[in-house]
Amino acid sequence: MTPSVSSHPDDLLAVYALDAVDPAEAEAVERHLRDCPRCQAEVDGYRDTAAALGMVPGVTLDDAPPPSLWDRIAAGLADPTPIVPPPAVLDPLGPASTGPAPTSPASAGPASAGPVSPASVRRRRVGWWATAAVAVAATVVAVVLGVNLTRANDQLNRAHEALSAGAEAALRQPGHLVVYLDSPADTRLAELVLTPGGRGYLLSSSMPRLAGHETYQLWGIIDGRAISLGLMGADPRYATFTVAGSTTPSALAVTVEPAGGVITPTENPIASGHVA
Amino acid sequence: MQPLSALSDGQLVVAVGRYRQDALAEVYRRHGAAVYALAGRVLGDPAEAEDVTQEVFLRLWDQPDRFDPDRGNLRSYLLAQSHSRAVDLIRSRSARSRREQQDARSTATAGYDLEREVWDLALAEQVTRAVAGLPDDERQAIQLAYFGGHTYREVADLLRQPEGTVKSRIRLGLRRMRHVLADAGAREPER
Repeated sequence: MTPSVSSHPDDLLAVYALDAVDPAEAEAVERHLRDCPRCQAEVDGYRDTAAALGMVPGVTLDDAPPPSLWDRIAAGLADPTPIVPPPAVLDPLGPASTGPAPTSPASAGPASAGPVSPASVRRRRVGWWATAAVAVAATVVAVVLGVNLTRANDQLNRAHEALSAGAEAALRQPGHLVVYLDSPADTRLAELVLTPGGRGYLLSSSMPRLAGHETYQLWGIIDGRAISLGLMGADPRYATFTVAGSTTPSALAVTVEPAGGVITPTENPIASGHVA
Repeated sequence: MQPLSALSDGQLVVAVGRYRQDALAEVYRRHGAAVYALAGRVLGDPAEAEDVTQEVFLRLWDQPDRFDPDRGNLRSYLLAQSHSRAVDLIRSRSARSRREQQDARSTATAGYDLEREVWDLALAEQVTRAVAGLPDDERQAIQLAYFGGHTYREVADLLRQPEGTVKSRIRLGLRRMRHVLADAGAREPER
């Protein structure tokens, strides 16, 4: 059925997009939308704008979701073929530890390698990691901890300005910590700032650009475990990350890893520094 | 195989349709905090915001085909779901008092933590400007409806304005914002 022009509920589309109509009106609009791509497109446009509204004003991390929320969601999945249990904590000290439990046949094939390399494939737990008696944790734990890191897109100059402003604001916050990441040969490779609220920014970096198939990965040492704080990309210049819902890391470290990141550090850090 | 982090939102949803839990986890990583923050802001209650977030992601898991990438981006889709569910909840509350309190701080801060935070920070700034540029009556009507969870009739009551006026102010305000944002080049980063 093609509705006549006069039947377009023009005056209701915007309020409908904001869920600001009564149930009867909502139903009428929905009935109309099923047959009217024009009005549907208009509603979609309003919803996009509304979604942008959800980000304003005042960006803070105070209301970040609790780390347990993903667990809850994952537990609720009626999943016939569980592939990856996201919040898997690996114990590298246990010889039987082979990464996230491959509970289904689907996870055995190479096509299901997923976003992270299995910990057992390339694990070389030597040097810094061993001497620091560091346990390692799955990259996905970072998600669960609400820890994540953003890699800036080079085209986003405006975003970079906002980020620089964020970094500057962090430096003005009382109680902020500046962390210097030095190479084993004591060359300074990066400076980061951590706010008391757990937000971190990359202040400067002289880490060399990597090949495309590699990425820098940032780790926080928390309670003796290396927790992935996220991927920094091949040429980190701007980055922000958060350590929400957990204690301040005692140290930060950066490794070079295959693009896509890894569950456990496969190399010694190219730079590390204590969080004073 | 491409890492999940390199996939577009649309590709991720396809993977979700194949029961890839890790794909859902990646969607959550990108958008979970925003979904949670919006619900929290409308509801003013972290526990309820968690419920809504869980529902939104379970729904994506159960019915990934409901997301149509031709009709908009995944973020907007998920936020629309979050908002709609939050508003359902708020309307089902018998006590209005909490909601009235909510109105008083409808400009309270929203917190979120997401992968594209860099872009979001920039967008937030643009949106702040766009909202600030709205005429007061349009801004007020939109905020009461969107963050207060009110119907336009309730907004009309609250503002003592005719319903038709409120409807058109919301429409005009959203359109105005849309143009401002489009002019500012607010768009998602390519991925």
